[in-house]
Amino acid sequence: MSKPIIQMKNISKWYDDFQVLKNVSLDVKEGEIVVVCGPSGSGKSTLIRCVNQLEENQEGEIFVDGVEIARSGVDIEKVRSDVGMVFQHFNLFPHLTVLENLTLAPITVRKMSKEEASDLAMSYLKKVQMSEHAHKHPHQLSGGQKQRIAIARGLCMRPKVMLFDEPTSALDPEMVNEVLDVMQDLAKEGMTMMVVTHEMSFAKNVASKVCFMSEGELLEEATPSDFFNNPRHPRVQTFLKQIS
Amino acid sequence: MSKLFLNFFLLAVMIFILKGPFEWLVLNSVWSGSSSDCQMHTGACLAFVRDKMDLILWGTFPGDKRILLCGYFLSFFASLFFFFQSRRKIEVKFGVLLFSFVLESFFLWPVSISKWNGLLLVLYVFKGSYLVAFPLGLFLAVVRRYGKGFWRMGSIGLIEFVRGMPLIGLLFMASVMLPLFLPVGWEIPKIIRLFGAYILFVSATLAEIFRGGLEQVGKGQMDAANSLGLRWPTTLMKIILPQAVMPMMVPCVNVGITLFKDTALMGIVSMMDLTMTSKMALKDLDWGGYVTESYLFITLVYFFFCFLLSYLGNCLRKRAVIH
Repeated sequence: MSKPIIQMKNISKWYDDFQVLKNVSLDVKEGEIVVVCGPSGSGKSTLIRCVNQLEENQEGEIFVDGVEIARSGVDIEKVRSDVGMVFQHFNLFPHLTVLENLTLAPITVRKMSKEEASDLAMSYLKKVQMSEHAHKHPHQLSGGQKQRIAIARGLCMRPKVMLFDEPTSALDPEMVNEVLDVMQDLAKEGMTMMVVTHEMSFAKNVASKVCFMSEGELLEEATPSDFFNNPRHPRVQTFLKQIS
Repeated sequence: MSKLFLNFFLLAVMIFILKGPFEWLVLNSVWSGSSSDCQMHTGACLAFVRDKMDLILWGTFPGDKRILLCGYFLSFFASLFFFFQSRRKIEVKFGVLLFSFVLESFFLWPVSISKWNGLLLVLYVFKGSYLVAFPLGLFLAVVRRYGKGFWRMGSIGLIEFVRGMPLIGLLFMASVMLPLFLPVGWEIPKIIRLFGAYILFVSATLAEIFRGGLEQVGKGQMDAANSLGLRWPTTLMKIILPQAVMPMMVPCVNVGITLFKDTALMGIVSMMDLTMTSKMALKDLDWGGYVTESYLFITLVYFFFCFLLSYLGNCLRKRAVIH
């Protein structure tokens, strides 16, 4: 039994009176690829953003690699540096070149030398097949290229887990696959991943566990084959009917 | 046909309007000689400006120390062009500007500060107050945007108070009222107090411009920086400020131009700026009052510097575009 990297216990969160997360519990074990899907506004993004505390949860506990992170006195920046994150809108730093985007955090947070960080960055750029774009600025790249850079930027911190918040939702259809391929390669190498996505093919082929959220509740948590072939919850059954 | 008529009509109007000034400034003007030569002509007495140019530009700055001014202007223009034309990082450029200001102060040190008159006073106050106001304005804007509690309220209070006052009011407070409130025996030189007024006013104006720049930086940038584990000072210095300040450089130059023109208000609190030195020149009984000529001259001086600043600011804009 491999150890859990992320453990969420009874997470609840409110925006004013509106409850976005209702008592959600979810574990992501080492090497697992957990896909979270569900309709818009169901709280998937909020949930994944709680993992590195970009959003605060008011109730419940979150452990990242055994450390409870919502407690005061925890060095949250230290925790975040071990958790990579990829966003729907890439969020690359537009005033920096691709290489500078990748090396900034290793240099300032990991205290690497410039050469060391550049070597590391170039190796990850090669991995996402973007080596020749190292000295461009983000605005010179296509959406798919930007997202691959964003993935490489996260990997440069050698994270224990990667979070993907709808990484393909803002992409043109023909660029979706280049990003999914990179993610699939990562999964094969054993990276622990938590992915919020609408790409059901990715969930079917790559995930070790598929979760379904609706209106802030985690309704179903199953292996891909169970999830797609015998969904238990009626809400999941209608969801699958709608997208097929 | 009607277009042709319109053109002729406008040409006639222009000739009618410009005929007088043209005759005055070009045809009937006197370029050299003395007061009596001027009185024989109806045109502009430019001989007056020629004779008094030194006094108008430098006031009571001692004649035998003029060589110091060469050093001053060399440093002033070199640093100005470096700031606007160089492609180095803004921190470096700003450092050079600050260093040049200190250097210029050392150049002028042998001459008593009360004798830094005319154009020299204008340029010195302009550069000095802008240099301090720029980082101070940035600080105020950052505190207002990201600060909490006491700090944030203090920043808002200061900005709104200063913005709600006319500059002339601040200058009067600095020159007349402040000394009354200081404890007995305390004395701050007037030039420093005026610097304070200008710095406050310009930093409040710049703070509001920078606030606009800060609001433009998307929330996603903060998310990305946080998710990488960057700490707040790094996020501010490396991610937020570069994106907030660079697009705002053009409005910042505009504030600089306004400040340059506002230095003329120092005359009202009896500092020897260009307007006051030209008044000094007008008091010469040998010449009588050639007011128009002397104001025309300082207009040209102001125009030269404002045009230079706006030209350099435009060069900056062409490079400041962030995609």
